Amino acid sequence: MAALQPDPTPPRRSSLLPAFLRDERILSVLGQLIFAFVLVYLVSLLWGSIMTSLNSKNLTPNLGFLTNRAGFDIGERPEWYSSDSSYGDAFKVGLINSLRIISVGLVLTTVLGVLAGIFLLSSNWLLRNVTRGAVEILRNTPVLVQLIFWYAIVISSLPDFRTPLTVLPEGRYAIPWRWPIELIILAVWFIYPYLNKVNTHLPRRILRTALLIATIVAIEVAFFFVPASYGFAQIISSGFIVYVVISVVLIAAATQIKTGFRWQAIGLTIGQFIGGLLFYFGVVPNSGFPIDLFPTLFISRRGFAFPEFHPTARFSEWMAYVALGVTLALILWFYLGRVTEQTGRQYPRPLYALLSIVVFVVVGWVAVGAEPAPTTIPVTGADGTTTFMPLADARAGNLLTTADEQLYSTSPLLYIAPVQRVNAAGVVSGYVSGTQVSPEYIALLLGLVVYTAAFIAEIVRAGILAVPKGQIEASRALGFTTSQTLRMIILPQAMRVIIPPLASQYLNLAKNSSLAIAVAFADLVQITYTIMNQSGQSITGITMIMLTYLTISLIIALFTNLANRRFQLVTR
Amino acid sequence: MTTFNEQHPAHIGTTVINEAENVERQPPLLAVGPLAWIKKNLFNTVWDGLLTIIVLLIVSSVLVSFVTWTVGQANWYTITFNIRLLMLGRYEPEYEWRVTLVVLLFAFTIGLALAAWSRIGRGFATFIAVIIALTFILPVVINATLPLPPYYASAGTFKIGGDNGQAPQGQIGFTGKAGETVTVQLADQYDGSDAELAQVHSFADAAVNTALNAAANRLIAERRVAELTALLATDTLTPNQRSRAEGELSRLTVPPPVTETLMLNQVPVTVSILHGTTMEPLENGVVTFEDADALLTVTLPEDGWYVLKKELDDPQAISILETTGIYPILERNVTRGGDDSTPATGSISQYVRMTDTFTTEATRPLNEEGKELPFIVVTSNQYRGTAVLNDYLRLYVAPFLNQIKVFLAFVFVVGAVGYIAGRALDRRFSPSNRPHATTSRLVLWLLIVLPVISFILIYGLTGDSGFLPLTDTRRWGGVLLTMLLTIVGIIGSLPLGVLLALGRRSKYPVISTVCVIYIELVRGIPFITVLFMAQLLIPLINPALANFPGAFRAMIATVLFTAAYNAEVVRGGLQAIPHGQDEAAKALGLNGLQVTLFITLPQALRLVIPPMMGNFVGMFKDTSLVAIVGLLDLTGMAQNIVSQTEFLGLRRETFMFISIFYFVFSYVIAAVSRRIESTGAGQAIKTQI
Repeated sequence: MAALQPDPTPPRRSSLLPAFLRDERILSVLGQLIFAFVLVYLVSLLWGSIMTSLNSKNLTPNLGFLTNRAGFDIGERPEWYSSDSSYGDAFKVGLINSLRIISVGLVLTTVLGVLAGIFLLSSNWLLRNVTRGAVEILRNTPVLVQLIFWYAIVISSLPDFRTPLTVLPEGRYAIPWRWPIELIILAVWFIYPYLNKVNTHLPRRILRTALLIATIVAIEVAFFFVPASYGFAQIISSGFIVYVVISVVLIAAATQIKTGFRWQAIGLTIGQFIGGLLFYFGVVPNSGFPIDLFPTLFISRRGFAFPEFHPTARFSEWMAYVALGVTLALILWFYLGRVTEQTGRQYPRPLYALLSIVVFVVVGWVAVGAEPAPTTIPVTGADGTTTFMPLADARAGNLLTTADEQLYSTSPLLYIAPVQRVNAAGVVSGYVSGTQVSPEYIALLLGLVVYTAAFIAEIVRAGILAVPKGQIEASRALGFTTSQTLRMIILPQAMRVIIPPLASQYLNLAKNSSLAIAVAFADLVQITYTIMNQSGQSITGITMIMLTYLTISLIIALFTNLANRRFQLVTR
Repeated sequence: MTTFNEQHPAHIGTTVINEAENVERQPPLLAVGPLAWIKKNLFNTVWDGLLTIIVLLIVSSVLVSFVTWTVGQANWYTITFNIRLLMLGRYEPEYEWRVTLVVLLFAFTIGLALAAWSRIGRGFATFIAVIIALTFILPVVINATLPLPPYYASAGTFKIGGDNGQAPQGQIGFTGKAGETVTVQLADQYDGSDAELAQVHSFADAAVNTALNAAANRLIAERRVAELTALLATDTLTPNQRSRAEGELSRLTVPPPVTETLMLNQVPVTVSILHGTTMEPLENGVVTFEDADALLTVTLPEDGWYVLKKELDDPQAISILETTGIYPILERNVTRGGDDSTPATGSISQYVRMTDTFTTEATRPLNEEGKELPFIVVTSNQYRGTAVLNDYLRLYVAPFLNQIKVFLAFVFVVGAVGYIAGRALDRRFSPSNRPHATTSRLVLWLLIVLPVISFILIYGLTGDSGFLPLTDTRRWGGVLLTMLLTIVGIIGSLPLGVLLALGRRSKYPVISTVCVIYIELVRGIPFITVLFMAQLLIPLINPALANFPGAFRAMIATVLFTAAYNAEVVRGGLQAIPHGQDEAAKALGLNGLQVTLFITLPQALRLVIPPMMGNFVGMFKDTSLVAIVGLLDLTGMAQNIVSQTEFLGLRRETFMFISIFYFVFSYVIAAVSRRIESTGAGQAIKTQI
């Protein structure tokens, strides 16, 4: 039939375009050129108009303004900065402050986030849900509101500077002799089975543990109610009579026990009665040794005050010992790893490595400290003359500065506790020593750390849940313990899922540190904003901020990519 | 040899039922029921149990202190007074209907959406209705059953608290409504001891507050002296501490009781209530109190100002009067008129009574020299002491519910109407195989059209349409501004992000390089930098843009910033589409643009709905950063409020309130996103390792 035959002459499409313009390769190059041209034109238009506006105000962007005098003071600054320093120096101070927040913040938020992630997976319903509630609240409120909350509310709830909270509460405490003895007994009781691999879940053992703890608690309660004076004269006191009655009842109850525990119970009750009598009549003293506790950390509305640590002249010697220890630890680590691989014999590698480092640190400390200090030292008097006097006298006379102590101290590290400056009227007016950290820093750090930790907790939880359940069941079937499962099966696979979002949370922390402007912390953005306002160089200032944050982000991304590569699945 | 039968005779032919062994026994106590749940989840091991106890202690102490603070010490009048500011900013009151209309349109759309994609059970609907009904009933019940706390005024001329102390004011103004009763009597139920004084909890003027604080401080000093003496007698102090404690003890002095030094309520005092404008005493308005039985009661004739005048002869004595019907007042300055080009036509002072927001604009009473009399302003006549639950409910909860109840009811009703209309439409018009087709299509169209309509409604139309005049963008604030920024951000960044993602995957190196540079640049810098850039650079582009509204600059910054993050999310979705789709489409003869538009993008966009919603929630929270560049969004408005003198110390309350708002919104969106993800509507690919 004619209808089914193809049309022999296809219709001619007249094309206006010559052949080479219909070639896709040429079209693509042409298209990109036009796109680039249009883009460059628009950008140059924008740039040109901005430049014209700036030039008309004599504010051509340049970098020369960085050498101009800053003229403003910064709240939190190193000693070399003053209002006479240049804008460039001010920028450096801002960068240092930002890096202080970011570096400490990254470490703290990882620790807190991982901990919170583990709590989210706990089998304890209360812990799990309380953490869940906290994480949800933190994730769903803006970070700026949280920072304002930490700064304006939490910091202002701290006590006044004159009556700070102290870690290690100050005071004179009398530690009775029985407390160290009880602690040693408890420590031995709890550590012994782990050294000798005794089953700790036997009912016998649980019963004995409970009895031990109950005995110690009973002793403490008894001592709590002991009257201040006791002895033969107070034999009729009500406390003593109650005690005698209870002891006799206990001994009688012990004799009624029918099982094999009987003799132990009788021995225990009679022993405690005799011990109580011995104590009551003064044969065994109840004295203790007094210790004076000095605070190591002051917390108040004006910030925190920490102890100072200064390296002394002997620090490098000690570091040599520590380096030896670290080298030995590394050698042990790799050697034992190879032995385990080749022979299959397990060694507690982390324990040995840690032990070697600790041993060398301690031995080094003692060895370095054993060298005697110089007996007489030169002391420059107020009039410039130099006299020689014994070291002990100089110390007693408060004639030594920190630099002198650094020279003559026998220990590698100089520890200076924070001490309040109290004038004659008893009014506190500052700190004589100790490093101080401003409340703005604390507020910003806490706010950022807690906010990012909430996100990291979710990431860690998702990562651990992403490990298929079959893996855990298989490892159990093979006889792995919980810690082995965690270390060798769960964590490596979870890391694969955790590290990429973790990296982006680290970047978020670094970028959120720019919100320091809301808590009046002098960070990079805030200082550069001041510089921009004062010098008028807004474009340069913004470019500087952008470049700095891009560099910081790049560095963080680099390190996390390295970590990621180690855990990534190798695919085609 | 015995057979089996002989050895076990009972097994053949007889069945033995031993009654004693077949008794039904209860399962062990900790094996079933709530106790078993507690054991398994809270006390599984010894350490678990210890952990539970520790966590319980921490949580309960936090909760208890939070509740005590909320009820006892927080001053929530900052919320009840500023709720309009927090919701709308300083948006012109005469155009408020536009915002209401927008909100109702959104409520209607949400109702329709619920009809299209979800089922609202009857139980849930009644639950919401009950809550709304409660917001109507509770204030009425509270106002009817709980009395307002009294106001304690002081009379006399003695300066309490030394040279830097407070003297009572002779005359003080207050507002009242017609027909209200005001009573004054001597505050004589205290038996004259400082301990009773220190425990007063109610409104008190500055002088009374000073006296009550003096009483409380005296008690504290007494206790501290006893504490220090006991401490110095023990042996638990370091030498440092001992010297400091001795110094403090020597400096501590316990003053004589306040009731004696002030000769409290021991001298006759004459109290009169005057009319604000005429300064004449009202009917029965002058009484001399000589003993506790005397009582002054007046009924106010009309709305407006009145004056409480107190005269006491003795220069050393103070009287404390207990009044009802007199309550603190907040002053509000309202500017009327004005827009971007013309300045405002002047500010008017409104005086709002704290307890029931009764507002008057009458002029304040003048004293003999023609100067305005002081009035009972909230800052110096605050509620002091720890509030009791009754006062908390009456002063804060009831007015707050009163303010939001109408709005909530409207939103609920309109949402319900939308839901019912949606269901009706579906029943009538949808085909049986796709029962929600009509409503879902309607909702999708509305979602496209609604943001445009809302923006036009709120901003207004230029030109000579007198119907929708332009509003001043500088007056936008609070939740209004936050929502505008979020919605414009979503609408703007979505297409831009898709374009950037497509550009990044393009095979043309120029386009892909440009997109990559843009995305990585913008993702590497903080949002605040982009905001600053927009603030500073936009005026520089063209001198005509010097007055470009700040809100629009922030919107541009938000769109540009979020587009980069959206681009990454969309890129992930595009990568997840198998190559086969692309190749099959090309084999069918579709060109590149058609493949992208009809095959790749629809699937990719459906895949990335959950992370995209997460991005939008993040943007919603990041709009709070515009507070740093001076825009008064919800956070900025809260900071602004807290910086005013009336609300100066009330940071915690204001920020707690806005945090609740942000939390509820974010949590709801995140929960909806999780629902969508779990039902597979986005067909998210679940990774299997």
